[in-house]
Amino acid sequence: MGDFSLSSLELDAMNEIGNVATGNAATALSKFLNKNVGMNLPETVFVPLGQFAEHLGGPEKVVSAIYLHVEGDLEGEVTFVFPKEGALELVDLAIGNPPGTTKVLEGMEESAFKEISNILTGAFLNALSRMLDVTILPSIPHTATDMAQALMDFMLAKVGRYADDIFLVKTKINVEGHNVDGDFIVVFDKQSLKSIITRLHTKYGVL
Amino acid sequence: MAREIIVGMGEMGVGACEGTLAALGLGSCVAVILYDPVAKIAGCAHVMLPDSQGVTFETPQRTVLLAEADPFVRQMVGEILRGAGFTVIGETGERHEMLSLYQHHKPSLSIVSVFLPPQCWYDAISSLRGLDRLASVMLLSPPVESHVLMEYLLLGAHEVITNPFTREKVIDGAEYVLNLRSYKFADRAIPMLRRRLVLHGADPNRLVAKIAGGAHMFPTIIEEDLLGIGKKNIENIKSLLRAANIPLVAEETGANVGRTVRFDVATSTLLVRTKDGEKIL
Repeated sequence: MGDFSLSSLELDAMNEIGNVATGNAATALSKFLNKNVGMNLPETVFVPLGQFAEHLGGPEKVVSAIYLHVEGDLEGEVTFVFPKEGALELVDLAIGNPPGTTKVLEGMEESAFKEISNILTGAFLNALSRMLDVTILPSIPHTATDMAQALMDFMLAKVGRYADDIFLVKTKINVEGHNVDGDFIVVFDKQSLKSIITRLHTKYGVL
Repeated sequence: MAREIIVGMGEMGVGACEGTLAALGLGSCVAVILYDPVAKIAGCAHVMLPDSQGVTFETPQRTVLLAEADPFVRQMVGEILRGAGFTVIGETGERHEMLSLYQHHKPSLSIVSVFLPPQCWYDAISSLRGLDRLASVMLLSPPVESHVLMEYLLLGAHEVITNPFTREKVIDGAEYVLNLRSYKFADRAIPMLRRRLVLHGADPNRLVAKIAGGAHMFPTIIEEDLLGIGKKNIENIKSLLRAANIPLVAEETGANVGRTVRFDVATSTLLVRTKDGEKIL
């Protein structure tokens, strides 16, 4: 399975890329909702498969997730994970309802939730492709509400087939004045991670 | 006292007599529980992938640190290991020396006696983990009640083998610990889980299985587009169980729902919890 690790400079560079890309996503969401959207500095870490769920607030926590696959020059999995109530409030904000109006994610509400994810992912991936000169194509987003680890284990299985550690870019998103705290998680397979690093070296040559 | 071993993704756990084995938040993953209802020995594998085809496993490094106060046992176990191609990078009968040897050689496996002076075996493990959080540890113990064995496993040993230390026990135990990270694959996990249960006293002819999981969590995606991992997990696990002659006595699989399972070793019941309710198998 091979050891693969990043130097601290490479990790810093990944962090910076994640930072710019999530910043772009936060700005886009902020414009869409007309609210202040906060994002913390992204964590870029290698996590052993068995410990992944700790990054989601525990394996059994019921969450609403959006999942999409990206392909092209880079392959990876993208998810937004919100506590169920947070997802509902986010949808209320997007539609312009008073918080507490939406009770289940279906029909119009589900579609609004997906639109939010399109905006966030689009902005994130655009920034990434500009910085790295790559073409990245996102799939259409899918949603489900269930235990956090249950929703994500298939994608860990996909990425984890040839690796024991998952490279994770994770950012917390919150909408000011609202109970909306979510995690934005991007997971790249090992091949894509290597190609990101190579591009960093050739394009910026600072590492 | 009710004890619970939580088996994380890609891991396996063994319990005996009492307590529960749990696997939390299963989606496409499958919890495979094998047990001997008479001897009350059970194991759980939290399987992620149906098979390891196409995956090349690097032969794990076979460097061993042997910490056992009894010179006879130390020599015997050392010879078994060397005879099977392991490199014993250090031998000691004392904890402080064990720690400095560990730091110096970073062995892939530490085999530690429960009687290692000073103080008890647990200090030996926790001080090893203080040096290296992921240190792999196998304990050497006199024959003990199965609840004591469970205590050892709960408190951080990856494996425990008991006197007499036969070649089979030493090598099987060492191989199990060295390959810990390959048990995310059904074809690696099931045979190893069976061997471990038998090693701990289960009768291979009495072993039966219960399984849960293998869901497809995003119903709007065509299952095959996600490689059909859940479905393939279930299919392959069933054929592996058939091949090992282990009857499948209960299952709660498929559908679009996340599950948490808890197996009660004393009663052999499997509690399956979803976000909407509970069910006992």
